[in-house]
Amino acid sequence: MKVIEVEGRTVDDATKKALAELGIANSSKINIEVIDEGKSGIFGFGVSRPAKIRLFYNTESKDIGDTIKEVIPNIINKMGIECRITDIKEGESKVYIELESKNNSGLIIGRQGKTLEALQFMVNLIVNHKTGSDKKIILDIESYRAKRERALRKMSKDIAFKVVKTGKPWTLEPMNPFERRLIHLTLQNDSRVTTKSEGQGIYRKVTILPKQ
Amino acid sequence: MNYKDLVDYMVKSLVDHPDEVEIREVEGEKSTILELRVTKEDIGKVIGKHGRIARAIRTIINASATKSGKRVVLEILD
Repeated sequence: MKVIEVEGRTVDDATKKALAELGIANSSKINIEVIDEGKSGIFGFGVSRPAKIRLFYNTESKDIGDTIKEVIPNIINKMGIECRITDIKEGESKVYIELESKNNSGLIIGRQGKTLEALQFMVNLIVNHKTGSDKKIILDIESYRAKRERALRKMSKDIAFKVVKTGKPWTLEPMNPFERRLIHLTLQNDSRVTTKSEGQGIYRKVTILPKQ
Repeated sequence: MNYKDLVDYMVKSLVDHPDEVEIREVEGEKSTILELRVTKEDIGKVIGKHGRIARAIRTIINASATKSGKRVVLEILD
């Protein structure tokens, strides 16, 4: 954060001077506090006073959107994959990124979304390291997130049906917290089965059991 | 495919001392080995809790190696 005080004929005049002095054109990164509005003498008589402002310039962090636009293509292109960002939505605590790749979205997603997850984790680390922000960045490509969610819901219902039929518990493959939560939520209103998570870290799995 | 470049970019963006990141690429017939060296203070930044960061780096390298069918191994030395 940089703070300077500038005088000018009017407040606008002082602001222009201050921006020129700092050599910045973008006024979105500054805050202005008016110390004195100034007073111009009437017809050259009376006392004229210059306007005085204090300007706060935020130098510390780069813009999160700009950093994302730089980091993501850099990583993915270095992987030998063509890809572009089609949309960025910045919310309170999250930033949603839509990616597009002509021929290689499968490679970007990876088996069970492993690569997309690793990329998302990496981009979060790098962008947060560079900007000091703590917003969560969420990557998506070809609506993979929505498709995976639908597939997981369907699968968990199918397996619940099987569990009820056979009376034997069924353990799913290891999943990340978000996906496990989705399974628990999908089946929480199913009175015939219960769900529980077992295992540590990346090996944590959901088991669907028949209710006694 | 330049795996060294990819790892170099990711690691240098993560650590506090990018100037002291060293990567050696050892090319074999079927596999490529990347030996990564960082300063002591930065080693946690490339490994992460329970090796989470190292695993993410490896997943990303392997995705880019899928096309060539080569195996790329990342070794973090200290």
